[in-house]
Amino acid sequence: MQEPMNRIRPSSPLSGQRTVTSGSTRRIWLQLDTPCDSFRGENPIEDTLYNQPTSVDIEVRDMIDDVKSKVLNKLSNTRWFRFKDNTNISLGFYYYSAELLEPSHSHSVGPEKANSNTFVITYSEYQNLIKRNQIRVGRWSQLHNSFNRLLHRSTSQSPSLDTAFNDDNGLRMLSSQHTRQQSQSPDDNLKYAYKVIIEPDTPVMTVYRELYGGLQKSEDALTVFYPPMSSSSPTSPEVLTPAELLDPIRIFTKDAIGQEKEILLSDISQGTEIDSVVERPDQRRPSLFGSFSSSRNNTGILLLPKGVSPEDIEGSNDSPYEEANISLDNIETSPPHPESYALTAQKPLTEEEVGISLTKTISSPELPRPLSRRTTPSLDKQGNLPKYKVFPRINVLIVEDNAINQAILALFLRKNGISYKVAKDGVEAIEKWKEGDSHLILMDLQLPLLSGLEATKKIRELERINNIGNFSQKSVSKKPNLKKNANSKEEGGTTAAKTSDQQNEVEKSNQQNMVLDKSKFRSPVIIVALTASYSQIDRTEALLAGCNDYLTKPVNLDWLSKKITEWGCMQALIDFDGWTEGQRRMTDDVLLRPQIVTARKSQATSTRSVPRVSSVSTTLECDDSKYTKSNDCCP
Amino acid sequence: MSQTPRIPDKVINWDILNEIVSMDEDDAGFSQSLLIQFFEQATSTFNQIEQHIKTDKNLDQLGQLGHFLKGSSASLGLQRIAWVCERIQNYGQKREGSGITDDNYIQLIQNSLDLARKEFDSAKSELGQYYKTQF
Repeated sequence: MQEPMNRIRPSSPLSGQRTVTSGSTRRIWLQLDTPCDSFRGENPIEDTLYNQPTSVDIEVRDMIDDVKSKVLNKLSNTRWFRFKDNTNISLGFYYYSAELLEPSHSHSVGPEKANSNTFVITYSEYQNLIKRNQIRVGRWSQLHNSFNRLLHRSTSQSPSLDTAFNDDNGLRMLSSQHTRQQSQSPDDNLKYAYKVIIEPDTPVMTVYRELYGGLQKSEDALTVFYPPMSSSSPTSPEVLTPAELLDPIRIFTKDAIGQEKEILLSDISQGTEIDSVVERPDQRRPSLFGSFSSSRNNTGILLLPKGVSPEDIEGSNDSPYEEANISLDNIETSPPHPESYALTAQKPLTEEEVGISLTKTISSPELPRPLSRRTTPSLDKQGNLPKYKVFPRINVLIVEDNAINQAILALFLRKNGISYKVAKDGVEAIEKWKEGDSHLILMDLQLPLLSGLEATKKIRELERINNIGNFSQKSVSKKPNLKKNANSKEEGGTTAAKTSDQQNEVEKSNQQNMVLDKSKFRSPVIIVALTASYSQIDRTEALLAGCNDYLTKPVNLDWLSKKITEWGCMQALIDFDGWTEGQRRMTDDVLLRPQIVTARKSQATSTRSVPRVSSVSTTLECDDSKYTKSNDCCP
Repeated sequence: MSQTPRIPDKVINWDILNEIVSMDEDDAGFSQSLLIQFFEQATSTFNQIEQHIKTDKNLDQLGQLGHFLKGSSASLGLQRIAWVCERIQNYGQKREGSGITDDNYIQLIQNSLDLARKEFDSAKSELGQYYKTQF
């Protein structure tokens, strides 16, 4: 099943041209979750019949949060809709496993929690689990399940409320009602259930591809999780099944005044709340609410999920409303200024602005959120920070003669939404590079016609002749010396003399071909050599020829994705005028220190040297840059 | 003379191949089509190597063919084939073995080619089991 290439990318500062293919809509199937406390159980099959999957159209660029809006819109005439908004529903699915999967953190599930075997994890944690445990899930399988398929096994046993939480590792135990429910699944060996919540900023097409491989059937519907409908809520006196909930309601406007306020306020926090449900491991703290409400009046209501009134919470020591308790922590950790809350809510927008494309997921605790003291804990310490993939908008040129390696790299880039060109030998590489707009070249060294080293030297030569990178007078005058030094170093090598002779010849004969359209070459390209496993000689030669870095073959794709992020970020620093213009930024201090005090023009001087910083330090700086910039761009 | 590493124990390095297989989710059948492509590529490269051994005994060419196939087999995690291809590459460049004649190198490459074909068959059968198909 070939996924249609629907890639629309917002215009990027990195280049004028973008591959924009037309977006087509498709639909995604969704089904309401059926929490046990609203499930009656007399006739499970019938209940399943009345909770049919429904679909909404999705656009290529939609995030999960947009899908939520569409679901809410579609179901807005139903009783289910009451008190729902983007912040208190989430999309996800259940994943069942026969064995306890090693969670992402070293001090994982403690023995005291061993009796509970349902976990709430984020989608990125789920992917980590799958990957780390080397599970080949493939496409949507029986291990994935929408909740309702398993409902057939539910009994009328009353839900137990001894909710266990695991505070440290981000996995939160659900109340054992879910445990009971899944332990009666037909495959009794599938003892562990993972309730996977997809982060609201995940692009829906990514999820679609990863889970369904391009075709989702209605029975593969994603589950819509939502807070339990409380039987004690003043407005919904009875427990409702989804079937009933989907009935149109007539009394909706009855308490419109109270609702209006809530809608208004929840708009502010839209898009940021869901991770607090997932990632903030917390105990219930009824007492906190007391102290809060006395000190700050009723402003705290702003952050409560719809449908939960303060009265509910105050009397909820023994209530099953987990979400309600979580909302208390929102209050606790949020600063008293609504503005700052709104500010963080706009973070995804900022990413768009800075020209970084989100191709996987960002779990929000990893972004610097001023108000989230409690949400940034163990994850960072565990070194799991780069769980998400933020790929810069760059164009990659793959230079590789072996069709198989070409195909692997190409698919990898395609999968991650990075545009690329392919060249099969050194000559073609130069031609493709001359077309412009390449930011990164993955250069195999052993190529037919013209080797990777020679192609690299040629490209560097052309860059020098055309002053690409806007080198200042000083650095241009230095360049020939540097080159001589490099050549004299190489003279011991067998090919060096020959190479420079060849180059000189080429230089003379092609003088008229050497002029490049400077608008397409705003900065020197980053060239990464792909070297054979053991050859130290190759690496040294590659760096001498003008490569910025190297990767050993076979290329580890995980490693490659980290490197692409790193290189791409550097390109953004080098290339994007907006970054360097009139902004006081920590990263500029780090990366462009010599230039920051002088005129902007001279900043380009650093372009040659920047990519050669050692990998460790560049990684750090890149990460910093992403974060600082996101912050700075917030209004 | 450089130390020759030992041939890997396992025919397939699943750590590497799994990375490729996991891309099937985006592009169903990708890994399988890639392997089929590799089997064709390997067969034709083996034939070319054999041709060179029989005719011009061009060590340089032989080394390059070894390098070529090493690249793709290593990318697919077919590590024993990759290992043998590396031998062929090194013999072709006279980087392994010392004080031996070109004819000796040709003989070494011939031996390696035979081994490579054996490894090729076992990789094929192991992958055939995995994909439940006859490659």
